[in-house]
Amino acid sequence: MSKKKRIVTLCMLVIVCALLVVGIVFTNNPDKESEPIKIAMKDAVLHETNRINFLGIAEVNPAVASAFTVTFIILFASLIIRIFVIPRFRMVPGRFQLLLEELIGFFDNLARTNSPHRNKLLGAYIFSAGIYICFGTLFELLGLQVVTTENISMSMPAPLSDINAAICMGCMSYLFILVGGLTSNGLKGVGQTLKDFSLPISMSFRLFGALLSGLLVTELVYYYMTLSFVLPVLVGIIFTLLHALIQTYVLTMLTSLFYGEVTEPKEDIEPEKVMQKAD
Amino acid sequence: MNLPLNIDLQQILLHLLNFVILAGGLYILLYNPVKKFMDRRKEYYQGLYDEAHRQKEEADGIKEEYERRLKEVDSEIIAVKQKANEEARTEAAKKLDAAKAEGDRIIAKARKEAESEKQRIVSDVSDEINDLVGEAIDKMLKSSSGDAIDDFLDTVKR
Repeated sequence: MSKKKRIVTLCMLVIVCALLVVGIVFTNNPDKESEPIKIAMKDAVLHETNRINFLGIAEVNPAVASAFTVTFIILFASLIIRIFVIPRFRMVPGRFQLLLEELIGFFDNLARTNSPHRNKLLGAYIFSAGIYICFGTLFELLGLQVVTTENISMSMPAPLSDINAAICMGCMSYLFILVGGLTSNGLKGVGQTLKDFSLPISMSFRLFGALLSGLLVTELVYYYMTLSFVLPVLVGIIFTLLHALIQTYVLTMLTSLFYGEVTEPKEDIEPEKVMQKAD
Repeated sequence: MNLPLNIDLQQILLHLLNFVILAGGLYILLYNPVKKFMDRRKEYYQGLYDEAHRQKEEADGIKEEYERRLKEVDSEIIAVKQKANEEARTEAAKKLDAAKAEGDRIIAKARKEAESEKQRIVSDVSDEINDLVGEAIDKMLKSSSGDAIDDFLDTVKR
């Protein structure tokens, strides 16, 4: 390591330590009343206390606002990409074009491999679901603030940490599989889909549980002052990143697998052939 | 209706609406255009590949054709060589025959010439002999001696 680098590293270390000390001194206010851990955890799961006013229509969980914010951000970014990037696509792709193509190619390939007979709409669906789950989960890292109906400022959670959003995704995926089965194999496809009646519940709660566990651990870590230095970087960010990737893969994989299963064409065995075989 | 775990149908529907908007928007803005571009590029490269494959097959066909023709040319060359050899042999035989005939003719001519030369020499010699005999007879007659006949005979013997 050169002398210059050593000096820069040392300076950085000193600045970080100074900031930590300032943080400890100015934030440790024992007089301030804080939410008890029980209530904080319960609220993180059920969102009963901290609710927000959604466009004056109704009082909803903060995750609803998060969901619409995520959608807005994603669609805005997509619009920018559609206008400024896609028309400049080249036969030999650049870095960003390659990233986009890889992303869409990944979901398209997942749909093709798991559902070889019918996959055009499936690719689009799992792409949307994957993007929503992944960016929705990563969204909580931004820490955007929202004011609740009780005038408490709180950071916006991941949309899927709300059970309603998880139920929506689970049921939506199940409905999509059901429609796929119906259009491919008629009532047989429907029957095959209904056979896995536990699928929407398992999908919903898997998604909810996985994201909630990360949220709870992060909440717990942030709750205690002594744990809120360095550790959140490891716990919060790594948990969030891993959940974003794993849950995206799990839900899209399961949806495409079940979709492929119910859309597989069922060949009717003709009675004459059965008779011939029996002879 | 109060469901456990704060499950709320209205919020589920809100999430559903949100997801439908997101899915529709993403399909129109991102998925479909990028997919179309990827398909177009795939078709383009597939076209190039097919064209290259077709050209390769064409080249293979041409190569096979050339090899076949090369073999044909080789056999033609062999046939021409054989024919040329045959013709050369025939020509050589003809020339040999002609040379032989010429030789025979020359020999015959030489023999004839030799014979005529021989005849000429013999006749010359006979003339000389006759002259000699005549001279000898003249001498004998001149000398008229008894031994003249013996001398004449000795002379003739010589």
